[in-house]
Amino acid sequence: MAGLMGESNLTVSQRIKNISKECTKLNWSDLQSVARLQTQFDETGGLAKSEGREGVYSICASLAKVMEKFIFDEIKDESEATEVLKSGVKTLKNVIKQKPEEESVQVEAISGLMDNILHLAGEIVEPEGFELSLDGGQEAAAPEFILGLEDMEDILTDFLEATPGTIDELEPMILSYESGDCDPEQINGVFRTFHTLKSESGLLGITKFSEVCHAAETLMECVRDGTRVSPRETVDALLASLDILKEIIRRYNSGDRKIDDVDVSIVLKKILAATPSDVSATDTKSKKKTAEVQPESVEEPGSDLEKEDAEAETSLIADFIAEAGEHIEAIEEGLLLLEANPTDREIINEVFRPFHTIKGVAGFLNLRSIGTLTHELETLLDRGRKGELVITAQIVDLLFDALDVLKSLVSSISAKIQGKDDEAHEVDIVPQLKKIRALGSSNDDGDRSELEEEVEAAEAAAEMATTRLDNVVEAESRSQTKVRTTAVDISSSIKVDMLKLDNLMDMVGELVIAQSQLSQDSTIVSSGSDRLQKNVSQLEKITRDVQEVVMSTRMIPVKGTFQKMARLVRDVAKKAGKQVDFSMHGEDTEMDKNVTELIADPLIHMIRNAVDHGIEPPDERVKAGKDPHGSVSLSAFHKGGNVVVQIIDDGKGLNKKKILEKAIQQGIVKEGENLSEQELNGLIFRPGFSTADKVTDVSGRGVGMDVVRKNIENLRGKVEITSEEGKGSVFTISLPLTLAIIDGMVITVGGQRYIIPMLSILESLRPLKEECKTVIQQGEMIEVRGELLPLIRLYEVLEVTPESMEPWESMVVVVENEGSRCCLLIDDLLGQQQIVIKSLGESFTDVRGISGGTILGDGRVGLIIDIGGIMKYMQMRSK
Amino acid sequence: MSETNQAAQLNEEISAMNDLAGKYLTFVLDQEEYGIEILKVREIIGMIEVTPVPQVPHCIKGVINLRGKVIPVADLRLKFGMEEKGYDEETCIIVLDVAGTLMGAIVDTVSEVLDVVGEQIEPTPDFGSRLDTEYILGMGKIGDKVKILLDIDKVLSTDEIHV
Repeated sequence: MAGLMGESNLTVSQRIKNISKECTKLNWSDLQSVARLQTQFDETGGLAKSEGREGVYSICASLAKVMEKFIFDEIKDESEATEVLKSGVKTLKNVIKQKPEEESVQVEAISGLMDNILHLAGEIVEPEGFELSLDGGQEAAAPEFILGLEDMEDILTDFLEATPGTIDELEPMILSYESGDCDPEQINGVFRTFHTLKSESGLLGITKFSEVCHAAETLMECVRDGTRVSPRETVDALLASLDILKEIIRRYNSGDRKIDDVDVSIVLKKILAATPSDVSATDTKSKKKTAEVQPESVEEPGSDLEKEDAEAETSLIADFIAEAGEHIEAIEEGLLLLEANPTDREIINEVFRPFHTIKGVAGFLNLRSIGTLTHELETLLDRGRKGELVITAQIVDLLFDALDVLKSLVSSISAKIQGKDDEAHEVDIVPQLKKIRALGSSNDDGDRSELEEEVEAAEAAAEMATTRLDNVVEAESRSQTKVRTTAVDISSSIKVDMLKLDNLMDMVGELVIAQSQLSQDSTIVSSGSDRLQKNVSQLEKITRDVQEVVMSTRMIPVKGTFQKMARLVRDVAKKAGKQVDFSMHGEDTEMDKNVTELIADPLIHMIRNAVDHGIEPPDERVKAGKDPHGSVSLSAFHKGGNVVVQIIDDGKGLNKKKILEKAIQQGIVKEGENLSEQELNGLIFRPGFSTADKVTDVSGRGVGMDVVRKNIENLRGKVEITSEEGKGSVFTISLPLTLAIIDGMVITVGGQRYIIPMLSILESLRPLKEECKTVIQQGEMIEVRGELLPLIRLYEVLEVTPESMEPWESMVVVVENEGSRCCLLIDDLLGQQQIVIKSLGESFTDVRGISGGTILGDGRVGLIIDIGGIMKYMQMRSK
Repeated sequence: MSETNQAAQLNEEISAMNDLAGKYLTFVLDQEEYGIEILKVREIIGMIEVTPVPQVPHCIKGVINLRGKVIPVADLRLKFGMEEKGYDEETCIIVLDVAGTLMGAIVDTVSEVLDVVGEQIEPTPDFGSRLDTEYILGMGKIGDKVKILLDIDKVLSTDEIHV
């Protein structure tokens, strides 16, 4: 243990050495390097804290604070800041030389310095002070910094693209905290994400964004450290902060980049209110955390937490490895180009970016050797980019070599986390670093001693890197059995153009047809050769597998959509003053990507309704003898070729009497008419139908359910409601697995085959002659079980010649669309089959009564009949 | 029309004719030879069964399955107001890329790919109101034969075959 301690010690001290070097070179007007220094302080502090070196931690944290204040323009005087920085780093160097046990003494000794820093910072952050001196030099420097960097736009674009996704991921985690599944791993995840967002936005100069992130981070830190916080307030504050962050991103994305009128102060206040007062009290005015600089508020993370951390880290590392592979490829490609055009800045930029990304993620994951190596390479390239360094063939060679080292580092980590220790090997990056340094400064007249020092630093960094890697692996081996059995699966993924997948799907469809034609070929069937038969059936099996795989490429879990609902339930319940427990089941159920996107809207309406109308207020529930907490559950599962999504609530259920009353009142239903339960419940889907006595801001206008039905019908799905008064309702949505496949009935009319979607078919029959009636010698009706339904002669619409003109000599299919029914005259029914819908292309968009085509079993095209279209077409013609 | 105007128009036409030079796929419709720019042609397939589609212009025979894609086919004989002729062994469907969408054109038979140079192309003669020449790019005179070079984008434009 003592040995380990010593090594870790080196890690921190090494970092301090690096920092000290950075400090001497520091140019205050280059905010990027100031930000870098701040991050370094932050990281070093974190590391020191994890080693129990409170003294180092608190100095680092306070210095980070100073840097941050400088970035946010709260410190104007460079010389003062330099002074503090110098003395701080000096003290750091002294403290780090002490043994950890003696550090507590040191902490007391340095408290003078600490006071100085705090005092200085406190004095400077006086609000009047910084608001009055807006004309200061730094004020001008900030925007210059934002616009001056050539690749800032790229970074900003990346940030704007990636952030909404990141924020969306945060939401479910935060919600799970409220629901009490307080998973330390997730809290850490949230904390880290906020931290990353903070530094990224800080770098980009989106001050408001980083302020909010900062406050949220502080709050999360309290949550993580177990400081007592009110979960409800915390979650409220965090969700509010997410909303404002989204708003800022939206503004940026819309192009005007004006966020002046986005008021973050309310959110900040909210967060501060949620943050325990002993943490936030010291510095409420500046809206900044000061918890970091208070050694007493620091707690040693428990070993359980560490273990959780290690596991979370493993999965992150797995992602990183997959990504790094792609980046390395990109770099290789770029380097080859660079070799041909060594002066092309754009290419250098191309190479620079992936290095930067790898560095960032590696730093985040504490993969020190990769971080150090990429950092050096990045520095080298940066100088090339700025024209300080000429990219020679030698340098390109070096970059390639370094890339190889990087590759072996990545593969070594990959082997380690997969539990294949024997394949993992130590990678020594020191020689590489030396080379980079040497080359980097060869056409530089920097002084020798500094170079030597740097090489020395690099060596130590490398050593430290190995140590760190070992630490990761060691942390891993603590839960060894688990890791060995569930060695992390590093599956890489690639983005594929949807069009290519569609093409592939088409081809596979053809393959299936060709295969079935082959296996049914009379020559093969009657050949009598066993071997041929066997080969043909083998082909059949493979074809089917291929088809299945291709189909599955478009499927994604419904999870993402479901998670959005969790947030919705929470918000609506709060607004309506109800207590609702929300649960999800089967969120891993896979659906076509389009379907998962398109059901979001109907789900929002239905969930809203369930919470707003379904669940009663707590006092009412208690009166009814129910748990004051209502429950709403959302589940998805497969059922007979369909995906079923169910929303179940235990609220008051549909008030059938009221529905009937309203329906009669609105003239939809005649008094005394007998309605089945389904029909009665179906009434709520009618546009403008609402039983709500008052219109709230979430629901009650009678639009929602109409939207639900329209949307689901567009997806070729069905909604059903079962409800029991006083006990709750169940909304069941059944959807096709993919938008592209439907259940169809193949029919013939005039020698041609057509498909009628099974969803529209109620029944098929051959009417008796006396059941066919004509109205004024024009309109034709067929009496089906006492009900007169209009007859549409399909051959007229399809412009073909039928086998028979008389309904009693052929077949009639009863179909339904949007509540109205009619009979279609056809020649014959051939049978039911699953069909893949294909568009007929732009040229045929106006064909009435035809919604698309499909490839039938024999390779010919069959047209799909659009029942709604046919009904409208006939109505139009009769007029 | 003044003489200078005429001369200018002639020059324009000559340069336009030179632009038309290139490779053409030629085919036969009722003993007349036609040409389509080869770059528009995707493939040539033998006649296969066509599924009729209702409510479309007479010349649109329907849709076919081209390796999993549903594409419309037009009978060029009907498009040009010629007499309908039964399909036989020689009948071909030329699959064309018309402004990004695939479309089939039924022709009596496909002849050859011809390299037509600018001098061989003559502007479309004016047939007066008797004949609509807007589908014709020009006339290719190769040897003693005349090939009618078609502006297939216009012939099969979606507006033309629209319902």
